[in-house]
Amino acid sequence: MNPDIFIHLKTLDAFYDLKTALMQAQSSMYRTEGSQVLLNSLLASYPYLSDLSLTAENLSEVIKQLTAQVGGVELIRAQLTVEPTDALITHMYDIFKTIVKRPFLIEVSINKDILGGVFVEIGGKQHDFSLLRLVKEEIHTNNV
Amino acid sequence: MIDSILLPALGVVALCATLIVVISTALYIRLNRKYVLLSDENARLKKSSEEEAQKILDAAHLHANEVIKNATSQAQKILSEAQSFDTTLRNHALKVTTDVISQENQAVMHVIDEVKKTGQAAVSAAGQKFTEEVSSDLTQFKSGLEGEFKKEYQAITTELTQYKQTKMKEIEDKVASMLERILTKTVASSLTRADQEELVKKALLSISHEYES
Repeated sequence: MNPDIFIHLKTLDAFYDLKTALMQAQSSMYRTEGSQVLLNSLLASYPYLSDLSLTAENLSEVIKQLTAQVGGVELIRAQLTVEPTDALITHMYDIFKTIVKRPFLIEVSINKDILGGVFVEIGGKQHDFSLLRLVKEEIHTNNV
Repeated sequence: MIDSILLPALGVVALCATLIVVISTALYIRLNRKYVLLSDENARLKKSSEEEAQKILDAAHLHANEVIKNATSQAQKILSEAQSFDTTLRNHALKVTTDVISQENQAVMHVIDEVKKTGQAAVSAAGQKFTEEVSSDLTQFKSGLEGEFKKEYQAITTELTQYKQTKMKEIEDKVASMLERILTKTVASSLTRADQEELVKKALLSISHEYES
């Protein structure tokens, strides 16, 4: 399977979305006979699937391979205060790509407590660039 | 001491007098015997002249008396000399005794003076020593008291400082906590989405720079 799929997916949520869509498509194919229509619809939603030579017959196998592959990629955990836009995710992915040299996915979670900025964990190492840390530092170190 | 000198002397004198009396008595007895012999001779001779015999007897008697007198006189003289010697001896002994007593008295006085001086010196030294000891004790007590006072003062100061620091820390923590809550609410509500995204981008750049370095 082409590893560039992660470049398209970028986030773990995107992978779960894709997996869900694929499983729904697989389920639908058993009930309807218009499998090609479903595949075309799927490819329209996820254009990068064209690289996978997706057919009604190999759909199940693709799902298995994708799941297995995701289990082996590195996960970069990022906490944000707002739901990131696609543009922000792309920006994040591009930044992390300069740091991590192997296939990875970003696991985004929303945490309002950090006030702003981002809290990232890469390879077990934590990087706190949250606004909460800045506020605390400002209060405690400068005796505000 | 007097008895040890006087008694032997008196003994000697008494002995001499006794000897004289004994000798005189012996002589008298001898002469008496002679008289008896002469009487016997007179009786034996019968014919001798009673006058001559009487003369001889008188002469003998006189001689005896003279001898006795001389002996008595000698004895008296000896006794007198002995008495004189005794007196001299007594006087000498008295003098010696007086001298000895005087010397001893002087020695005793000297000793008393020495003891007095030594005692005075000792008392003075003891007094000085006592004063020094008391002074030293007082100094030590004062020093100890000052040390204790300083120690207590330091302990109290330290305790107060610690208490002050603890209280200040508590107040600072409360203020910081309050500020944190205020800032959290203020910041969270004041930042727009665009601001949030901008913050994320800046944070990502910082992470990137961290890895580059």
